[in-house]
Amino acid sequence: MGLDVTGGTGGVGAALEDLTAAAHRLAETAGDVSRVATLMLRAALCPDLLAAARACPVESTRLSVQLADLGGPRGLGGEAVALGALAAGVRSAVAAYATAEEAVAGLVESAQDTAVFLLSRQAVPLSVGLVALRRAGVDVAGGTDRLLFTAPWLVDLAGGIEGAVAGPLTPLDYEDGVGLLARAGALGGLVTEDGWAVRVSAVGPSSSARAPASVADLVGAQADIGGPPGGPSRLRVVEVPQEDGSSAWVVVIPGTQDWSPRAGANPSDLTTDVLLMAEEPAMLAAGVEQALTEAQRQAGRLGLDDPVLLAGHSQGGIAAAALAADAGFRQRQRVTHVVASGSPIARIPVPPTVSVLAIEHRQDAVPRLEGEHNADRRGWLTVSRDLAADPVARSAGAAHGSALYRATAALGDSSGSRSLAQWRRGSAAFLAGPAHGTPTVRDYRVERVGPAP
Amino acid sequence: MASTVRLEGDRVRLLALRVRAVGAVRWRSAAAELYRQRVEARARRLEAAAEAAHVLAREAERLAAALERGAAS
Repeated sequence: MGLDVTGGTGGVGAALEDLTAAAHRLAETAGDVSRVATLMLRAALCPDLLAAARACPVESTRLSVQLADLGGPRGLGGEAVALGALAAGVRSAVAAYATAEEAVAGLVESAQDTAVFLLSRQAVPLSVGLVALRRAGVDVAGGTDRLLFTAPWLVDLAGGIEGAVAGPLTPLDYEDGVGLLARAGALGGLVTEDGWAVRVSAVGPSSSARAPASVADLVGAQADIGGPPGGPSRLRVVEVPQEDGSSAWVVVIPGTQDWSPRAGANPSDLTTDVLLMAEEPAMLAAGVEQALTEAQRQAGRLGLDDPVLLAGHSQGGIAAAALAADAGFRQRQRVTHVVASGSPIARIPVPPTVSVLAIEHRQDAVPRLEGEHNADRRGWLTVSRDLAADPVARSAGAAHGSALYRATAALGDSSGSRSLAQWRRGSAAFLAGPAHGTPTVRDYRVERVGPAP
Repeated sequence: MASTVRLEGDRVRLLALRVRAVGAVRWRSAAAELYRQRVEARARRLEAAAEAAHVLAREAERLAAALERGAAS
């Protein structure tokens, strides 16, 4: 089924954490053994033993020598030194691995910046060539879509966007690059929310609305909330009753619905994409918080520290990760889980206290837009599916579809992966369905209002 | 003194268990396998040291008994 699971409790990051903890335990044990060695040496010189030498000189001398031997460099004293050296060796191995990883990441980043810089210098001839191809009847968009499916690594170059802005070897990072582009666009009234405000209003949930009982359900909920282009954005808040009478909260955020670079009423648009990728405030995120707060107020559970899972597809996943990375939001809401499908979230600094499940298709261009791999750590699990042999999805666009992601999530739900099994146990409160009471599904319309004339 | 030596022997036995537990974490590469072997070797040596401590504790008890017998006679 082409499913690859990285990170999580079975990942390399978790193994390195285990090794670091092991090194710490070895060093601690070395200290303890050293203290016992000292006690043995003291026992060898114990006044009672020396006094006994008068009555039993052979036995007491032998015992004294043996105790000194046990506490000395050939005994426990030496063991303490060896354990300390072993701890240092394990620490060095972990540090060497981390340094090598950082060096490789730095090289990739530099190569991306240079490649994008060189491409950006060819922007005019490239544009002329594309126009000529279109005029000759070539389906450039379709061809690009198919090309990206067969060579998805090309999209990784987008990770060097700062190279286009500031040249190769720039000290700027990806977020700076996107931020500079956003500010340049804002000068022309593009990708900016200036003058707009956000409005959140409750709407009746769709008739098919039900509480998620699996990751596939979480991803499948996108079909309920994703409206037609031009329509308002809609998101879902699900209250899941718990055995102890409290609640767990699931928020489902939709993907991009409007691709115009000029902000309009629907905040699930390109403007929000750019703002979130630049790690700048976005009204969609504010709308998510308002909707969740309103749902909790209605349930009488506002400020009760209930756990929250944020789920989203594409832009919805970016918004989920961005909110989880926002310390202010985490102070107001106890975010414990994020589920993102088809979202470029590798660079978003989600703290280790939040458990992330990222679902990606290798041939989907969108999660690769940052040109960086997701973190491999205990609290960050990435499920990647290779669609090369898939008979239906034959383009990068098709590989991004939420229905296909739902199928991938279902494969993950039934996977025997140790990391996934651990993740399922950790997220059971959110996927409990009606086990402890009837869940409440609330849908909210989120829209921009204004701008002021 | 015998009881101190015996107690410390027990402590070393526990420390050997701790080291063995450290060796039981997941080690992935061939180099890590080498480290695992070293950790196990250290645990075995600690267990031997714990045994030696117990032998010495018994020696100390025998010595104390001999001294008591000598004092009584």
